Amino acid sequence: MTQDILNARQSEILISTWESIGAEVDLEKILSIVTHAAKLITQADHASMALVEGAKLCFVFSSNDETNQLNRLRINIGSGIPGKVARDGLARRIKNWQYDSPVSSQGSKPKNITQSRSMLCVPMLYQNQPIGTIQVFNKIGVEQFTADDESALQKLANRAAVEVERLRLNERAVKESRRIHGIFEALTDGIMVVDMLGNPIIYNKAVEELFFPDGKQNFALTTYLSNAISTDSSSGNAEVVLFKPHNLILSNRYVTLSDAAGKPSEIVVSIRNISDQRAIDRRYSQFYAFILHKAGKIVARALKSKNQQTRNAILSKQKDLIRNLLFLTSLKSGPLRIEKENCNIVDLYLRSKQKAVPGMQKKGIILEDNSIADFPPQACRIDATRIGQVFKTLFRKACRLLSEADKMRVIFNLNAGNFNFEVIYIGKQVMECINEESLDWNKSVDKINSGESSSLDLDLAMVGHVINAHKGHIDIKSEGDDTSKIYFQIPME
Amino acid sequence: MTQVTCCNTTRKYSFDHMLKIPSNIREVGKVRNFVSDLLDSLGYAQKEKMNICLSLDEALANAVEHGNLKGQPTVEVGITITPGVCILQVVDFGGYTFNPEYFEKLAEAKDWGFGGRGIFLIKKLMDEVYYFFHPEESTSVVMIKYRAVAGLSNVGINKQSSSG
Repeated sequence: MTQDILNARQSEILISTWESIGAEVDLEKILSIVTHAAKLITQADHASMALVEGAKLCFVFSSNDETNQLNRLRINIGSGIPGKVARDGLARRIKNWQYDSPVSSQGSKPKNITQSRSMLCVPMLYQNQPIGTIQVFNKIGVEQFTADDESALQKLANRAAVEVERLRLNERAVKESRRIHGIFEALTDGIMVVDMLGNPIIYNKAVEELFFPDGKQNFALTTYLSNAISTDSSSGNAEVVLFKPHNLILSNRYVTLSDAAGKPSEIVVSIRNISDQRAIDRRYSQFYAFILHKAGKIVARALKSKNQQTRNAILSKQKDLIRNLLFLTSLKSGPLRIEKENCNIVDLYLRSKQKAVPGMQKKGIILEDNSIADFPPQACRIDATRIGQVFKTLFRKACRLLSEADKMRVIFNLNAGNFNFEVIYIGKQVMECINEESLDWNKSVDKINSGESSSLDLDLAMVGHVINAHKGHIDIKSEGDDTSKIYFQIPME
Repeated sequence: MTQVTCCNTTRKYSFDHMLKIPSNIREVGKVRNFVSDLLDSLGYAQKEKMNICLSLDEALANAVEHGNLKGQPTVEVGITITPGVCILQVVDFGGYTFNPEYFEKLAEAKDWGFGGRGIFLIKKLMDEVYYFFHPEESTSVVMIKYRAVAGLSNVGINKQSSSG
């Protein structure tokens, strides 16, 4: 039986200890204060404290230098006196502790520990569950600890348990908060929590970067919170365009959190930057608006025209436009699918040439291609349709851009396992239409969108697409004022 | 009146004046006159007043023309004008989502048809422009113009609680 009435000395020690540990935020200090108080309140020779860690009881503090060796020693819950106390939550008063040592029962008793005459071990109870034990040893002046000692020590232990749990909860809260901050910061999307007035409680860097680029002040976030979040519904979506000065398109979702009384207390807002996605949509919508408008104009002109020849010329333009749109569809779709077959690349060239020559002769264009025309047949595995399309495009370019006495020169050779072609156009207009940018279809789209160009020419971009699909290489260079060279390699296979 | 600086001090705001008008182009002039009088009373320069009013006209014309095809045939105008800043909001209830940049860029380059220049003009004339799309519910455009003589450091806006 323990007694509930403390003597004046014990009360004074308890009150003083409670005051000290109540304001303490350092666990080590609390352990030190409580262990020393345990020693004083029971008039023990020394004291130690152990805390439950999972299925083990870990000795964490001792008032005695000699028993300090026990610190961090871990025993199973249920073994030894402290283990038993930690298991069933009942205090133990023992006369000759040496015969039932928690350490000796583990078979690892440290040497040179002072011989103990008596021991009192109480559980540290938090919400009626033992979270640790306090043990005191060798009552000074008398043989054994009393029921009064046990009562006083239990009161100290229970209060210590509350303080230890408080600190643990605090530590867990800090750790959790750090974790949440870490998660917030790792997100590339913006996330913020605001109160119902729009005061931010927590937000990540992405929010600052989205709303305050370069740290410049503006009304974006205030306006955003005032407009994108409706307080009438507990959740919602909105798309927001921070048009000026940010040039950003955001997609946001918010959820209103309620407090314990069910009253709206905070709003969690998730903000995603969808500018790039929308920019692509915008770019092509704009492009197609221009091209379709142009196509409409061409059709209107063709319908008005009474002359068959003029109409054919206009419709030929329409055909070009449609061909280029088909090229664009293919270029946008990613790598080109090719179907290789056995064929003769020289023959393929000569067949394309045969179709183009009459037109070139009619315009007086000079074709110099002896290096390939005289070449023996070259068997290879290529997509004959696509490569034929390449040759056809190159001849078409000559017919379109070159005038009388202008030249198209084709040089062909085999080198390092590649078919090497060098197509040289010599004429006044060639540099405008055949240059380094001709391979970049994105630039052609941008030129249409900016109004810099009204005609779409993706012929060479498509040639590059076909060559790349064959794992070849293509390059365009301009020389002087009137010469453009297209080099391309197709691996022999 | 509190300065809006960055994330940790921002708050929601309400407008000093809220006008609800029928979605009709004839109403545009009334709103413009109301705003013009407020700007005059606070001593805004003629050029600033003209830019603000022109932007308001364009935003209202867009709201009336495109925003009343479905939903309520009304337009709401929020107005807060202080000596430092003019904040205007035009809300229609069409609930259409669009990319204003599309119309802006198209207006820069296209050579056919009418329309599309309003957004381009608003962006040119105002200092900050924000669009809020609540699909199938409403579309808002918020336009902000700082008074040339006062920087943002002098700018204040009324704040209110979410229920206000």
